[in-house]
Amino acid sequence: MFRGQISLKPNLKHFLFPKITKRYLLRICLLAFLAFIFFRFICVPFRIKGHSMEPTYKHGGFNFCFRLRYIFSEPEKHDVVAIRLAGERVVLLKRVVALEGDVVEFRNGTLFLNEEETHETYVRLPSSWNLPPREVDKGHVYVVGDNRSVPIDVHQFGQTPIERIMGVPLW
Amino acid sequence: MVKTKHIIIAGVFLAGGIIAFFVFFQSEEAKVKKQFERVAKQIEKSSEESIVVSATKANRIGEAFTEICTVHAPAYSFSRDIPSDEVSTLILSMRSQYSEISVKLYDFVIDFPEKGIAQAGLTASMEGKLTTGESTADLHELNCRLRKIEDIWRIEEVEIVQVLKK
Repeated sequence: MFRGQISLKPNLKHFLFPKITKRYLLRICLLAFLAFIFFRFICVPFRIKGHSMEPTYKHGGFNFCFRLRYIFSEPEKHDVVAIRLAGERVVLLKRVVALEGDVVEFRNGTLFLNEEETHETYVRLPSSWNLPPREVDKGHVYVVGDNRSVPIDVHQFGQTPIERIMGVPLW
Repeated sequence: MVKTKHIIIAGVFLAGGIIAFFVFFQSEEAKVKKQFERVAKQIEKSSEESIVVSATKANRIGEAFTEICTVHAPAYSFSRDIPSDEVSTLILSMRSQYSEISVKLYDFVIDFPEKGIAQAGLTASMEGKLTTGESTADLHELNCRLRKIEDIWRIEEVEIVQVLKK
């Protein structure tokens, strides 16, 4: 061995097969506890099922729901949000298109907010939706999926209370 | 040695007792959950299912409901009292449009506001293939009230919660 060269062998062995000491077990328990807190309450892993957010989020994709996003702020237009149903195991992934007080309308597939045409870069598939104007209630946001190529009756969209928003996808 | 043997025997008895407790003394919450799972199983359909099996399943579904069941679906402006035999007919006709149906239930929240009454919230996901070959997927939050009749939890009221209001 040359002077100054470090032998990795004993370190690697120690890393892969550490001595099971009290301190080591405590460290493992702490790590498991922190991982549980992180993946249960902060970044919840989820799998995307369905085509309502295509092409932004594809069916079968994997992501994390970041739950602390709206602790100090409110959802904004164009945010993609996870909306809870009875619990948090199954959620809806939708995009916020309007906030409280806004008047939402679809004319031949184009979104109009307060009678002004909105250019939505995330909508890539052709749409022919028509929806008469309606005002978003207080404490609610209006959410729609990015895939508007499906018939309007089939697509789940509309206004929902802000409290139902669980978080946002991490990417 | 004798001591170890005694400890093992005591352990076996304890484990047996715990298993027996969970098998024979099901909590009311577990019974309610089981009733929903039973209904979900009866709604499910495989591509090879015969007409006889379909009819039997539809009849069994009817048994899970009270004589009159109230259904509210504000999103479809629907609210009606439906007799249990009509529930069977409705489900049979709905199932006949599908070649395959799969139902999954999640996130149960069960409460007992008074004796013999249970209030259950859950998320129901139904995926299916229509006889025309088209695939469908539905996801709903349900609020249900159940009444215990002759020791069986029967569904008395179903509300399809409008999570997104168009």
